[in-house]
Amino acid sequence: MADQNKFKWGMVIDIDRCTGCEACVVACQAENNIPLNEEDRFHEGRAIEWIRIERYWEGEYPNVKARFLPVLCQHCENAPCEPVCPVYATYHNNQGMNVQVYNRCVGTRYCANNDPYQVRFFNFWEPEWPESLENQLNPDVTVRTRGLMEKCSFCIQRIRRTERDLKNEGRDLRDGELQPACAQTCPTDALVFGNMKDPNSRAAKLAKSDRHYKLLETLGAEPNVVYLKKVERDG
Amino acid sequence: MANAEHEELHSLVEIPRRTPQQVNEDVLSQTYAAGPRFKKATFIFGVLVVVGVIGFIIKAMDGFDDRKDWGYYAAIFAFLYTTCQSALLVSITMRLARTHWRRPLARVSELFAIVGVFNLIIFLPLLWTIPEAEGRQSIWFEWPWGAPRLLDALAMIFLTINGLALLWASSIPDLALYGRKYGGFRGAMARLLSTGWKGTPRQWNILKAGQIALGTFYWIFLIGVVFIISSDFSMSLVPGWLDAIFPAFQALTCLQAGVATTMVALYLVRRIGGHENYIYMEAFWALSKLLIAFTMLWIYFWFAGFITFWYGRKPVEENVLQLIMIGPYRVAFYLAVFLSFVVPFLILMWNWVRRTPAGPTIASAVIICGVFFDKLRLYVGSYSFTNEELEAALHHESEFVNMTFAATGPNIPHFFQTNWPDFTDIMVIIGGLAVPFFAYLIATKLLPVISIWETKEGYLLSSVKTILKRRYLVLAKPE
Repeated sequence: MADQNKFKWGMVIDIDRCTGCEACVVACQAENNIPLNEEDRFHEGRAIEWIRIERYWEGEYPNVKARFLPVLCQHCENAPCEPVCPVYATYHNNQGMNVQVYNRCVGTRYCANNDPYQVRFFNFWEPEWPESLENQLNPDVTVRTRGLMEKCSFCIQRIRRTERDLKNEGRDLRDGELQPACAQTCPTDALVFGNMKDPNSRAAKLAKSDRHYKLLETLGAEPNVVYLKKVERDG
Repeated sequence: MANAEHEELHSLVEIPRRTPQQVNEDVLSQTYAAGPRFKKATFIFGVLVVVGVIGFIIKAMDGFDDRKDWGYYAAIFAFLYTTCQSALLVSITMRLARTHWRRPLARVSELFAIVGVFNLIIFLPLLWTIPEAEGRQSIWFEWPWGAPRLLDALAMIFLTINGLALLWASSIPDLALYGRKYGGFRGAMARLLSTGWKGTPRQWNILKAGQIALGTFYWIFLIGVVFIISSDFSMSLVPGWLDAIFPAFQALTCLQAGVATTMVALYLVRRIGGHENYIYMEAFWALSKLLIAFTMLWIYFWFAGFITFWYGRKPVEENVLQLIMIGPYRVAFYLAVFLSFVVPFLILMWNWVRRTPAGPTIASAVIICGVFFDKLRLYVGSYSFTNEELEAALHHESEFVNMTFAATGPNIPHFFQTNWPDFTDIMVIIGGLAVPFFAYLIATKLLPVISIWETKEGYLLSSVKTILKRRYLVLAKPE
């Protein structure tokens, strides 16, 4: 296995590039076997979206601008959701990720209560897909049963697969070769995933941009997801 | 005015102090003496225990095959387990947290280890009432040997031994004192059990490390055992009942009930045992804060489990709700919620109530009643099914669903009828409820109910000083 301590995974989200197309949302649903969110689920406030696009309106009519903010698990270094789990179903791994162990979760939902970003989701129902989509399920990802919490995993199945490939091929990771589904799908390259321990990685460089900020930074959760603010252009 | 009232309600509770000699004399003489009131109480509770034993023997003569007959017996076991065997957690946790207010209650809670011995005896026959793990849903899956009976038995035996070891370890200095002061059989036993205690620094270090190790182990063991017991003797006996949060909810109930049991024992030891000089109000005040926290957690855990079933609406789970909440055991369920949450919450939410010995004690007594009804609905309900029904439900779940749904029709299955206690059940309940009183009364004459060495240590490590006209408690924490 590759030396896991060489990696600290993080993501940079450039708000200036995000068009709110929601391709990342759909890719995430498909990659991670997330049940389909029908209209009722949204009305009930029970929709499961590991990544969501928050939409804001700025300005007054007729000069209204839409702003989009992709929000996913921030994989905080000081994650508020971790210490409240009574069964250690969620913990911080040595690659900077906030990991959810489905087999341990008993469904107290303390983590969701303590999560300031609202990116943890409880399975209130057994997951179901139309018959035509059942063969589309990703065999690398566990289908979560009712009663469990789930959240963005940075597509950990891809990370583990890449680590095995690196070990077998005896080489180092090339920047950009490992992408979670959302980043891979983003048509404008607004989501950039990478190893923050590698100063030459694109993500690490972007994270040092003058435009960088973190969501709810004042809470002190120390997220591993960095946002780049919108560039305001005259006119 | 409001400020003055606020200060009054949050002001320092000054600890009455005695000299070390007075502590030795007071506590040891209370332990040695057995007055007529003590003898009378022990006799009455002893007779009630015998009534329970007779009830058990009558039941056992009919064998263990019909599980329905053993539901109340199982509920009594679970009740004693949840209240008395969990009470040790209070002393363990507060010792780990190095709180000073634990000193008056440390031994009071640890003496419940003796009740654990009685409860182990109650538990062992229950092993014959549960089916093999094969052919039904079980937490043991395909465990190669000993599941569930041998492993359940070992878990309970080790837990009981662990509790006794903890009680013994924390009593060694007091046993040495007792052995030096008194002769006769009890004095000789105390000398033997004190294992040549002289109070050398090395002995103190070993004692404190041993207490921490045994306490931590007991904590882990108890939570583990409650997961196993609540799964094997309740959840897995109901077809289709799969609820991950249920064992955690039961563990939480243990924490709440353990605090409540300690509180009631503390009050009785203070009032009837004559230890007003050592059990002061601060202990009640501090314990009651824990109790209100656990009380709120209790309703949260229950609701978290309930809402999953409510949203899921799987037919088989609607049956489970029908059985233990809204069907035949609904009265017990409503009483459990009312007594475990509503009443204690309304009592404990007031600080002025928490600052009295009586207020938290009443809330605790109510909680203990709530635990009793909670165990009735869970265990009597779970014990309603036969082995054949469990096996049939595993292989033909839809048939089971249809069968139980027919409960509303003319052919009501027997397990959806309320299993009212018969005469032997009532005898067992009376005997079971008398067990903790009987065992605890005996325990108070075997060991000092107040931890002498911890009380004296508390005097050494704390003092009340006046700083800028205000009184402050100054605490030393050498650990």
